[in-house]
Amino acid sequence: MNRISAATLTLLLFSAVGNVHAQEILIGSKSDTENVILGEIATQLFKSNGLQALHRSEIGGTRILWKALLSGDIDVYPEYTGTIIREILITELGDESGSGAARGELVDGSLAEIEAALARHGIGMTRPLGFNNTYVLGTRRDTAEEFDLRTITDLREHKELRYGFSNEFMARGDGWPALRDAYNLNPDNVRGINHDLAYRAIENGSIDVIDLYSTDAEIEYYDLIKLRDDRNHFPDYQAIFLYRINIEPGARELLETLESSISEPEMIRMNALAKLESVPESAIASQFLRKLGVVFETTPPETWIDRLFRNTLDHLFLVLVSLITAILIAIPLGIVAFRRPTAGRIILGVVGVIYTIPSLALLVFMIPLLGIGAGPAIVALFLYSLLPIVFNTHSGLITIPDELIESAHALGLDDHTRLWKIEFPMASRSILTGIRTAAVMNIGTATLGALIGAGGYGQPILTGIRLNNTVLILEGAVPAALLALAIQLALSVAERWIVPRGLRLNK
Amino acid sequence: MIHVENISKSFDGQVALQPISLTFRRAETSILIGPSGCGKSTLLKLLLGLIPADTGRIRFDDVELSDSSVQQIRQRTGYVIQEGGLFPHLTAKENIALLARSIGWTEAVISARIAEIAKITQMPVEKLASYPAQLSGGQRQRVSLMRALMLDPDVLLLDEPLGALDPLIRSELQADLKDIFESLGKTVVMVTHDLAEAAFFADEIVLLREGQIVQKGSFEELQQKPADPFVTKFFGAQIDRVAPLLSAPHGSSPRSFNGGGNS
Repeated sequence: MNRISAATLTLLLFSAVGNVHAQEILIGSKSDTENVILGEIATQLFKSNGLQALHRSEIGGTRILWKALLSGDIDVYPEYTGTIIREILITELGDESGSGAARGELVDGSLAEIEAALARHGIGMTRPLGFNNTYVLGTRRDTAEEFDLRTITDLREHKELRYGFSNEFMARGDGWPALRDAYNLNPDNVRGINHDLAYRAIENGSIDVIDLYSTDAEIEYYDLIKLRDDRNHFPDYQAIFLYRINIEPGARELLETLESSISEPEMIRMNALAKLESVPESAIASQFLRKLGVVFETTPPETWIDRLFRNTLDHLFLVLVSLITAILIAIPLGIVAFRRPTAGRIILGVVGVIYTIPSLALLVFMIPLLGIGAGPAIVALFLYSLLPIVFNTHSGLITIPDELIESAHALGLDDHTRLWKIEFPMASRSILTGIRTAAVMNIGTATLGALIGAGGYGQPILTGIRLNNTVLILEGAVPAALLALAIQLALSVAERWIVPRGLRLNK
Repeated sequence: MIHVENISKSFDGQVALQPISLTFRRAETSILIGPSGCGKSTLLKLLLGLIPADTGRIRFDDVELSDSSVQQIRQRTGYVIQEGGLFPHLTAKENIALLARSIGWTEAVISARIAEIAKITQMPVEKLASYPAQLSGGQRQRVSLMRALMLDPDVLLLDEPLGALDPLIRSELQADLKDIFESLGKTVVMVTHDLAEAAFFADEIVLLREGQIVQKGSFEELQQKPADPFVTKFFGAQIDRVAPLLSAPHGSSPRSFNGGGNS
């Protein structure tokens, strides 16, 4: 009972916090450094002009950000024109103007066309920010020399080269499938890999060809050779901001002040600061804004203690809400499965099937239904937590010796008394084991919540992977492990209270 | 008291009990006996509605056993099984008081009743705070009997209540049980496969074989006027163990046994 009211309190507390921020402009950014910097620039620009703004950084890939923008989970995010034409308008909207634009028209014409298509969905687009961040394919200098590679066409002669493409590039409308067809490439070995890890993989020779963003700082750092797009497959990727047309008054005008303010060398320099010199994105953004003459008292960057505290709160919220809900639903399901064998087979089958859905897939399935953030993550964690609790409740009940079940009936006890005085206490140890399994699994899986903007210990892990920063990864991984240990400990203490003494005697 | 009419039961096509009819008379001790698989335990479970009968009906006085009456009948019937069937997570006292608590008896009434039946069953009161695992086999059966007696039922059903006990404890408890049955005037139906025990307790013996009643009557009737060669055979196999028990009394009034040694 205490735990239930604690959960209710937590829920109330968090919904109250949510209300305070109701008037804020929510800026989203993708899980790559450039996007985070641009998101940070927009956020600080708003704040310096007296608007309330919150940056929800590293939410995911293009589709997640776009859906979040459509649903109003965010109000603004940085995007690229080529991505809008080739990915968003074609695959997401199935828009005729998109397919027309995809054939490649004048830049001016297509910008207007894009704006018109977006406007039909309540989305606006700023003027270009000043740089083009197109896709390129790259190899190490020694690979390029060995195989005499200068253009993408040159790759056709060397099927044996190993390709590692960012997962988004593997699936995008303008990505690998279209590129393969345009150049008639047929390599033996192509795999998906996290973009930030791809640089490390190509450096140590595990792969030979990767996709690059032309403004990536690592191109120079790792001395990579860009292969020329000799068939002009990739369109322009002019950086712009997408925003909801009903955004706070004044916000749109502020974004337009950034028109043509960021050159390509400037963007590469900012990316290098973040990725190679570990300067926080917020500091890079305020430095940039100062050059534009934006006067802004920057809040000191979050200390690691603050960050740890915030991540812990976020993580606990995900875990406790999903776990407690799962306990309240799964135990009754386990009881029904025990008392009604036919329904039981269905229940055990369904929770079993849910459990086999890969967690990443389940998280993404939730986005169209529930948007981004804690909501879909909690639902996914809840669904996963069902199986261990339902199974252990059921097996705890089914393994009560027949003669004891019979004795309970023979005494003439009513259903209620049998359940609460006999079956429940006798199954308690098994039920607790199920809860413990669910809790530990839940804490680990909740780190994936950061992929869809739910925060928690997964956030520093993701950022750490992006920035190649082991300390940041540990900042998420170590507390997650400690939390799992703490919950285990708490539950083993609870076991002494909950499992009746008679069952803990050695016979 | 208990009227069984045309009751039968099969499990997965295997006949456990042919349609049988019989009556257990008030304040008498009836013994169901027979070899393993003869249907004696099945009959006991049918009486409590623990398994549904295929045919026939059962009446307790005027009340017919049905879904609506079963709980009431169970509460008016004490049931004791071989290993006691005590709930391991409850103390002896909690086991005994469980049903009374669930139907709203006050703690004072419960304590008074427990003290009373502890005396009847000769169970040391200080042991009642123990868990079943901390009690001896004989004590567990006494607690089980106390649980059965708690609501002062009219009927006691016992399924091999002494089967798991060592011989010394067993004969001691036999004597105590018999005293209790007679002094409280309960209608008792007890299952055993032990002829000596049957002879010791029975007002009436019902001998079963393969789901059918072979013969019923007093011990003497079955022994002296066997209805079937099986009766003679069943008695012959066990009679050596019956004779000493009957001639060396442990308890109140062992039945005289005339005609021992004819096997």
